[in-house]
Amino acid sequence: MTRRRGFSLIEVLIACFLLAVVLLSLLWMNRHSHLSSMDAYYEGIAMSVAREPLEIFRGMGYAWLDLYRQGKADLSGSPVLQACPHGSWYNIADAEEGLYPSEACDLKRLITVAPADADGMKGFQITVDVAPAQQTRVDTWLSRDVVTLKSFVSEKK
Amino acid sequence: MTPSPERPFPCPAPGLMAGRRQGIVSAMVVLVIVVLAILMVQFHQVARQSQSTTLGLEQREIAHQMVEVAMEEAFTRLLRESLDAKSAGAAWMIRKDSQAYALPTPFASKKIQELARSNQDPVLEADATIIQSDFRAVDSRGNKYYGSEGVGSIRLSVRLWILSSARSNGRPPYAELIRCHDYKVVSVRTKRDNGVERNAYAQNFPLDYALLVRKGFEEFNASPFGKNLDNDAKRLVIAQTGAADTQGKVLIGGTGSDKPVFLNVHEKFAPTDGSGLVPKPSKETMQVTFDDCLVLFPKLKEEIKKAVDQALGDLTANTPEGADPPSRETVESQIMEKLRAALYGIFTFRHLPMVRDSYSGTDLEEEKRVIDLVASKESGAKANTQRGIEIIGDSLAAFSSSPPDQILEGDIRSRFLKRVDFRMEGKEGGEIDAATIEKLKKDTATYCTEAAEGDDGTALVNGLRELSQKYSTDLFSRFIASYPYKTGLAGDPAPGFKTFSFRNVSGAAVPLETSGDTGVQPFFHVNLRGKRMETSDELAAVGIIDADKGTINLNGYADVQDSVTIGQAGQTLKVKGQGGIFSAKGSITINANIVKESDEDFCVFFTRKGNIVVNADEVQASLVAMGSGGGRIGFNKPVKVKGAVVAEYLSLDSWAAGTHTFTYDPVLKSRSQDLYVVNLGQSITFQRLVDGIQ
Repeated sequence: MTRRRGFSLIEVLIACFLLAVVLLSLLWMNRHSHLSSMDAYYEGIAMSVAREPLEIFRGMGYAWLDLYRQGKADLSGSPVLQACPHGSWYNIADAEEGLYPSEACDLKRLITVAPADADGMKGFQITVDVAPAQQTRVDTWLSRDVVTLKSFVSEKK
Repeated sequence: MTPSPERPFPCPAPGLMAGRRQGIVSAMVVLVIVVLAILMVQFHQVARQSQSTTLGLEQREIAHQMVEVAMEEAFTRLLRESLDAKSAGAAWMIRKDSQAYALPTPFASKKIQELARSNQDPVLEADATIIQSDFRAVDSRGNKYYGSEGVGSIRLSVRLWILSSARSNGRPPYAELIRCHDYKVVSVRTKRDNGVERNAYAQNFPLDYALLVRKGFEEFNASPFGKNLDNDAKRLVIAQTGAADTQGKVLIGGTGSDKPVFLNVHEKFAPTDGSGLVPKPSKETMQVTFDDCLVLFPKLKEEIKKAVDQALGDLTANTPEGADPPSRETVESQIMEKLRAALYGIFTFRHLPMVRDSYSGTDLEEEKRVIDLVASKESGAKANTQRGIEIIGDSLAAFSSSPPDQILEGDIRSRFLKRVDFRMEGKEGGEIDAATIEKLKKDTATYCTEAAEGDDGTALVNGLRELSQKYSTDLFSRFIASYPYKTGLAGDPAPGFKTFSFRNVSGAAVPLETSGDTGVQPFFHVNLRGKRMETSDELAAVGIIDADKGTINLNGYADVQDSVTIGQAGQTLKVKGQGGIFSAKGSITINANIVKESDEDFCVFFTRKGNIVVNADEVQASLVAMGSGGGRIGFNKPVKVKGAVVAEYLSLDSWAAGTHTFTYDPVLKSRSQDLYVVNLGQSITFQRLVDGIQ
């Protein structure tokens, strides 16, 4: 009778342990990578949402910004401008349908404009804060609470 | 392994087979784990990479904002300099310097620190460069612009280093933003020596003139005749001060080559010593013989005949009987001898003003009568005896600071009255008694005009003609318009002033009257306009007219396609800057008073196809209505203008009654210095952002 060779329990346990360590490491790495990817993805979207008013306001210029800051600018003519109220959080989901990609609709935006005159130049500082809207998946993935983008617009006179 | 009868095929032994299987499974498990591990690591790397990319994009976005802020400041600072023609930046653009012009950005340099991360110390550098190959010094038809005028492009460059050490180490910038803007250099004043003709086309040539009326001669000879220059109800005074070479010229177009216009001289320009516009006559009296008097007054012959008859009668009565009475011829001859010895005629010549404030008193009433009689023999503009406009100033004193030879162009003459009177005189102590002489003097005193009335008048006129021929002297009262509009003249001066040619847009010398494409066209280069608008309302929208601040803000020329209305009645607008407001196709109505904020500021209102209507009391601006339209300027109130006034027709007769005063603005004239302004366009014509270089 030929005696079959086999694994001892110790061998099996060690093998299982090693396998578990390797697989758990891979799982952890996978989850971390997934988190990073989604964070980067949503941060990119948040940056775009934050950049938009900066570009618009730079185009509108200093004089318009002065009116905007005082709440006197007419925002009704453009759905994009309607999505840029001053000094209050605005849910991107409330914007006109199709204006923003669906992922951006899980974000909210706060725009503040403050005088920033210096060195003989009149200017405004524009600060755009973008954060996940309440109870959305972005809240899960985005690592930062708020993505902030700032810029200055000066008077061309 | 060799085949055996028990095992026809070579195969491992059973125990050995089991061991092999276990090895394969283990290897497969290890392989799967390795593959999984590799995939996981790859995924992790991709995830890290995307996170890093997002971070990089964020950094680039921040850098983008930084260079945008810096670019705005750099542009604004260059724009500000462009608005001040004396600034270094404007001078750099005007001379088209090939060197880069450094632009400070203190505002942006501070503010970008607030945008940077804590471990960054960003620094900026900004400059402007003129794209030399882009500069156009000719218009679309190839006509050359004046001097430094032209249209070009400026490239603004802003460079950003996230770390100052990178810049000091000579590394390339992290981001560079390049923008191009168009700019225009336009002359608002071009140098002019009053005594020399322009040798190139300068679109603002009308500003050389205190008054230029292109069709002045044509207007002078059209109904109402001469009333564009001689008008009692509407007075025009051109007042100038300062050095002669900073004064505006006066030109009535179409004059010259025996096509004169005249200004009837007012008494204030005619002192009796001949130092004014009315010269003293070359001779004040001329004596003629008794026989000449008979030519003028044939009726005297009848008186003489009566006297001869009476004398003959007396002699016949007193002649002793038998003696022969003297013959009639003898008596007549004797009487004539006595009369010739005792009597003679005197012509007096006086040069007098054409216009006086009042004609009261016998002599002045007669003077007026003479003027009316002489005028009755004239027609057209020559019959105009109204007061001339005052083109040098309102008094003779103005002539010393405003020499007519340096100011007037064309054939402009002063016109006065040459009054000729005649009377007979007698030698006292002769055989004619004083009472008779006095009676003769009274009876024969007459003013000599060609306006004959009745038989006596016709005989007088014929006699005067005969004597004029005999003595080669014009013995009639006349209006004299052969003297140029100068003071202190005598003799027979050459009439008129120097006439200059003008330049058309291609630079050819042409007479002022030439119209059309090859003619004289002011402000022709539309490409050099700083702004172009459709309607007058847009002047406020672009900030040229600021009703709230009461200013007209100028930097170069602004073109409105439609008619232009400036201000409201009762409003005063201050001119800031140098330039003008043009109406391309309409008219210009000025309701508000226009004043200059400083001596350096000036404004030109120009219409090519319409008229200018002024409803204000004061306009410290130049008015130019010249081109292809009516080209008239109307003043609905007595007005004070400070600037140049240029029109196709003066149409003085349609102005409001009263005195209108034009004062030339000395800032419009320089013998040696052009004055340019720069219009830097706000629109971006090209942009490139290069980032992430560092």
